[in-house]
Amino acid sequence: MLIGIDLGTTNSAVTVWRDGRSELIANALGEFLTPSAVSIEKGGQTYVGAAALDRTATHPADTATSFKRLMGTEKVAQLGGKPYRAEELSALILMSLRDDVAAATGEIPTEAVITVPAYFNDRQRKATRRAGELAGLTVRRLINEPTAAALAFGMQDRGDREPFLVFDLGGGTFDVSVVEMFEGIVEVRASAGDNRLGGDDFNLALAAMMQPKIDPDGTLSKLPADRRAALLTRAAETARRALSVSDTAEFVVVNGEQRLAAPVTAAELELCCDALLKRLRDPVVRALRDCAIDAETLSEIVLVGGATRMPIVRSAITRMFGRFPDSRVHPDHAVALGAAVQAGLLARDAALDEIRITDVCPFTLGIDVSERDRFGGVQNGLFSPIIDRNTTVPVSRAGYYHTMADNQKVIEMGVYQGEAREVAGNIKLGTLKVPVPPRPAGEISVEVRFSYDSSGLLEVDVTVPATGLTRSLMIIDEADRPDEREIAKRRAELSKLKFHPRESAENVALMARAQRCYEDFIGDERQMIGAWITDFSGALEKQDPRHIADAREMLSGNLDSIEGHSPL
Amino acid sequence: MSPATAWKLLGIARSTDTGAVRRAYAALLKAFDPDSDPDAFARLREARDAALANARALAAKAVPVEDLPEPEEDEDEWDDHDYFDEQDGSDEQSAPLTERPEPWTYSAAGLDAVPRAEGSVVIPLPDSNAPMPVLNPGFGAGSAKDGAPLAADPWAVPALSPAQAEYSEHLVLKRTPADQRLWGLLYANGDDDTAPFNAAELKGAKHAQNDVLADASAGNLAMHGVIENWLANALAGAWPRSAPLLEAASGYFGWEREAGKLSERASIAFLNARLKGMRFEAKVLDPKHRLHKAWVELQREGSGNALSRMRASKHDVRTLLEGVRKNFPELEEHLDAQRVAAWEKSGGMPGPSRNGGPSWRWWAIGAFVLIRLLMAIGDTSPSKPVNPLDTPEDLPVTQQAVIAAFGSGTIDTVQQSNAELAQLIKSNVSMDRTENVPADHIAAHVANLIRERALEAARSGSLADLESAMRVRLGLLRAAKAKDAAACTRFLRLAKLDDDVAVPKAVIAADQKFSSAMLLSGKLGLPPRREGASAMVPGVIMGQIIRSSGVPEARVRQAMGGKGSDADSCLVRIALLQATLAWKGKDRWAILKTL
Repeated sequence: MLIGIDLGTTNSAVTVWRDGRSELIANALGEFLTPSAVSIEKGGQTYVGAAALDRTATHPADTATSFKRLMGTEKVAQLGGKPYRAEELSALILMSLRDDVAAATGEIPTEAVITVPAYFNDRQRKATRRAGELAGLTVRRLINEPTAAALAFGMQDRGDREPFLVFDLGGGTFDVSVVEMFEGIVEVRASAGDNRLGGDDFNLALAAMMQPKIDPDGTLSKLPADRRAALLTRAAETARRALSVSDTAEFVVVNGEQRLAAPVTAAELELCCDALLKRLRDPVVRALRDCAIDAETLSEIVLVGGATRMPIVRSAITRMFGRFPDSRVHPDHAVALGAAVQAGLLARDAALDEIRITDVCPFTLGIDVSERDRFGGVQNGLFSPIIDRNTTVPVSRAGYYHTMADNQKVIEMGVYQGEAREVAGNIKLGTLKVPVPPRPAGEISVEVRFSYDSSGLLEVDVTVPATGLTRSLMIIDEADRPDEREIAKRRAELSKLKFHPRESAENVALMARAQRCYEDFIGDERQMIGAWITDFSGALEKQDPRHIADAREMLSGNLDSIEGHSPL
Repeated sequence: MSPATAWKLLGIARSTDTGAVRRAYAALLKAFDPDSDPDAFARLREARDAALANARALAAKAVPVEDLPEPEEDEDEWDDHDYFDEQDGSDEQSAPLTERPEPWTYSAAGLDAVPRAEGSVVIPLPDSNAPMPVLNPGFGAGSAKDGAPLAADPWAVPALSPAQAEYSEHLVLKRTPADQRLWGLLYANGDDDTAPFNAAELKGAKHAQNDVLADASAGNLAMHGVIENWLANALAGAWPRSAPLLEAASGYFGWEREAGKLSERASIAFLNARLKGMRFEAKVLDPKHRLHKAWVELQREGSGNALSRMRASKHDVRTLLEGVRKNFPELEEHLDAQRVAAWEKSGGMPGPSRNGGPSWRWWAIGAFVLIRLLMAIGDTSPSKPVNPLDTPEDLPVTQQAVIAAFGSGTIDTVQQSNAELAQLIKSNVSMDRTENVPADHIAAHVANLIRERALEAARSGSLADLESAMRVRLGLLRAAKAKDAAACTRFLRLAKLDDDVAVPKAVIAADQKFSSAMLLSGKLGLPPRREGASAMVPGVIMGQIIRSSGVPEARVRQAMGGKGSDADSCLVRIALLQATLAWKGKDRWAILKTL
């Protein structure tokens, strides 16, 4: 079974293509969105999703969020005293989503379409694919998030559409794609993005502005860094969400018995996020310029991603385009729904017979070369592009290069991605060496062929016509290509983690929430919440399902009322 | 792919119907899997693009695609010395590339301007910027209505409350005078004004630029883009006067993020390079900087002696000079040319003259090099404070000045032909006299002014006038060179002939005759604003310059780029002038205009 997964920075979602349409699958708590949070206790007890998110407050040292931003890097998060790479934490999310589908359909999924930000580079894409492998899912296709959203948007009526723009501002990444639809062909004309810009950055900016205001005495700076960061980020997230619906909000941090708070207005948020809002322009301009489409001729501006809910982002978009954006797709669901469409396409579902999609490679790919300048000197480290950005994929292009020195025996080249003239400014994807027969300089030439597939993965072939030698490699560094044994070993490590049985998921999540609330309040309210927790623990110990259900309903109602938000 | 192949591959008849092309493409695409046959997919894409281009061309009744010239020229072609004899019909390659940005209201026309450093050598590249459209003002007014569907969305936060809907008011383009104010300050005295802002101007310019930036931030994408390009071109064109404004503009638009990108726009590349130079200069002015002593040393006037050059280490001076020449060539103007030359002579210096020997590539560049030689900085308009009094005591001096400039006549005859010019002469005489300048120096000063104005008039006049002016100029340059190279360079840069240059009588006579003729034919009016002039110098002329000046080609190139030593610049300019005057090629006039 093939499923579609939106593996987001903040939230993830899973979909299936069933009965000719995309369908969202709810998790054990009955929700379509699973927070991308993982918490692992010392003993290996593991929490994924809402429960883990609540534990950022109570157990910051055991809990990780926004780890998508570490994808493709060597960085690890320490949870319960053990290091975990981003792809391993992502694998835990994928497993949880896989189990949700298994519970809903009775069939264990083995294959997946996973979405990635369009501006994810080759390393980040490969890390995502490994996350799938670790979760026991064969990744049939990586699809760009804005492309998936465009598919979901296009499937609404399947009619022809003049070029429209997908503006995807998620928790950690920002993508822009210009897409056109005709005769059932969904064609991405150009993509651009910033893989370091998202809702998280707005949180950081807000927290940085508010920290001195709520805490002039500097008591927070005495806390351990992870605890302080967790408190401030959560306060910022709450305040930012509140500012999406009203003009003022309170920025609250509760630290032990101490409650630090200050009001914040939408105008202040806009001011402190000004630099971030400006960064939204660049990718839009680049994408439009690359496909030579005027902003004015765009038929629609489609908003995707949770951060596009922020009024300051919306007004920035309105200013940019001189008109109001379209909100007909659900900003949190569109990407996942589009992933299922892609899954249906791969499964050659009859309902999608008339639909095809073509995407682009959003960045330039090439190798490093040396050139002789006119004074006879040699300039090293210059970037020679082979595939230009926004070329439609799949694509295969070749460049021709020759030897620089007499009797040169080896040609060594680095494979790079980026837009800078000097490779130092670009991202290195790998290195490749080819032996060549010794001849005078310039007599030996090689063909370097880049093939970029629909998942955005690159393959490089080097041919030496003089010897007929061909060397081919998928661009994967040693670190990026753990052998099968290594993957198996890591999978085994992950399988040692202990998970709560699915039927107790609601209780676990509710308990985590209650404990988080206990931390969030002080005084009488805190005591009250403490008493509720005792009651609920007692009910759980009795192991009487009916009794537990009653206690759960009561506690959840109490928490809703004290937190002041409705269950909807 | 030829259009014929493309139409055949798509299986449809050639037509102007782009819809048919896309339908055929869609049908074919659905028939196979691009992933399993990427090559077939590539061919299909190519066929579609070629057919679409052909269909549009047919629709526009333009040339069919196969008849268009191939866009890419084989580089080897530039090796051919006779290239320029064959190039008839390819006008766009030799047309001057430099265009001034349009002054008012963010007009998009300035986009094509390729600003460049004074005297830099630029190889023309195709402009990668798709022109931004000039907006239809008032488009924002109707947009507010489009907000209605928002409310129907059950998930969306109602983002456009009535208060926020006021944004739509900002969308209506306002024609602000900010750009005109900024332009006026940047180009206060025409193009060649390199004088820095005074305090009041600086304040005004900063204020105006802030308003321009506010317009950009209130505007939509297209507006933002137009303003960005306009400002980049305006700042680049007015360099170095615009220097104090650069940081703010660059910070606002994030120009430095574009630095080093393949897609970096020409004007922004220029400004980024200046910004780097400014930062370097600021750093090197700090006494703690490693190269500070070397910098100070190279700024001292005159060549100094071996002892005085002990103040900086040879290694530091060399590092500094190499670094400046490689990274910030424009900063060399801040150094004293004589002092630099003295250091170069004292040995071990990487003088611009020693940068490697001849190379075959030179011809590729020589044929294609676009030069923009140093333009006269001297200001011929009466921008100096004018003293309206012309006292009787001034008269003999005025008469002497008129004779020096025109060879005959009186201030009254000048007055009859050109009252404005007579006033200019009188006020300069009067001003100089109040500063007790000796009479013969005053005469020389006035003669310089008249000569410069005659030259300017000739540049925008007929070819015959320009030739006469250039012959005079050639004579004067030779005379200046006979004194020394520095005098020659001063004449080129400042349009000022040193008083002690011995000019042959024949040249003086020709000069006066030419000025007189220009005066009498009424051509000595206020000179028109100088266009940024540039021209292509063909390979044949380059060859002659190298032969007749005896300067090696690498140094000729440096000199043409304004980076050569005084002696080289002088020799090369004289050789270029001489060669061009003797040449009959079609770009002759264009080249003469730049000299």
